[in-house]
Amino acid sequence: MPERPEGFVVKVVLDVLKPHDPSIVDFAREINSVKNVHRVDVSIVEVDANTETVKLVVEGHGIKLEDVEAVVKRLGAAIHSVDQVVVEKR
Amino acid sequence: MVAAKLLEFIRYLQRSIQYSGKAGMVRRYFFTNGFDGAMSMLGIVLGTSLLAGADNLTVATAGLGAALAMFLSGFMGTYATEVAESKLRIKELHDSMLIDVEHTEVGRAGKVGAVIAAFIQGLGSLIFSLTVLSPYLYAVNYGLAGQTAMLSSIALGLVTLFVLGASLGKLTRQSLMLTGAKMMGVGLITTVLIFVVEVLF
Repeated sequence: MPERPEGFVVKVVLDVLKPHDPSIVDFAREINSVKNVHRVDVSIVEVDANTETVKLVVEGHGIKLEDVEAVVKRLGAAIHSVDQVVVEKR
Repeated sequence: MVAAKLLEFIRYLQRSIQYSGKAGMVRRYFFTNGFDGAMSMLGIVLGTSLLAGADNLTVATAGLGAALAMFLSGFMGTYATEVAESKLRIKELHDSMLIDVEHTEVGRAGKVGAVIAAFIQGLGSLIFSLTVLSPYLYAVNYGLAGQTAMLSSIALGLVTLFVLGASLGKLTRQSLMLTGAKMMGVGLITTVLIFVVEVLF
């Protein structure tokens, strides 16, 4: 049986579509509360009438993408694409 | 344990009002309805107390009934409006994002935010109307001359309007004295008008 590849996700960059509320400050704080996440960087890419597209950069050690995704969904937002992933060895 | 639960609940309410996008509106509602409550009660107190044969109990009972009605009318009116607004917002978000937003924290915040907005709106009118009525409530329980109660009520009403105006001025970064004086001026004009109408009829 092949071994699972070793490595910890330390950074993910996501393209996210979110409502205007919660604000990017509250949004970043909520994402930062996810286990193993140490730093969150949210930048506005585009603003529409009801929504905004943001670049969400999540940094930490051993980030679980599904945990981040669950919080994003809980806040009424949607991940459009995973644009970058950085993995390190222990 | 209880304090921690209470703190968590307060944070949940704060988060709901933020995520529902109703934060600024709740503040406006509070002041608008506080103003409405104080002014209406000033009118009720003056109108009733100037009636021939009206005692303190009559004024207090009429005032309490009106305060309760204003609270419920404010609560239900705002609740119905805000729930409809929240539904529209969720529908617009759904159309823009093509995902189910209703069963997320944003969707739930819309419903909770509507209840909070309605409650604050009702509470604003209840607090300030009861403040204006309070001399009569005191008079009924502890005894006070009718005229003293009326004058105290007018004075409290004008002070309440000034405080409301000044608070609004502080929030909107205008002159506290000016906004306070404007609100109090409206109260003063209303008082004089009621006296004139009562004398004429």
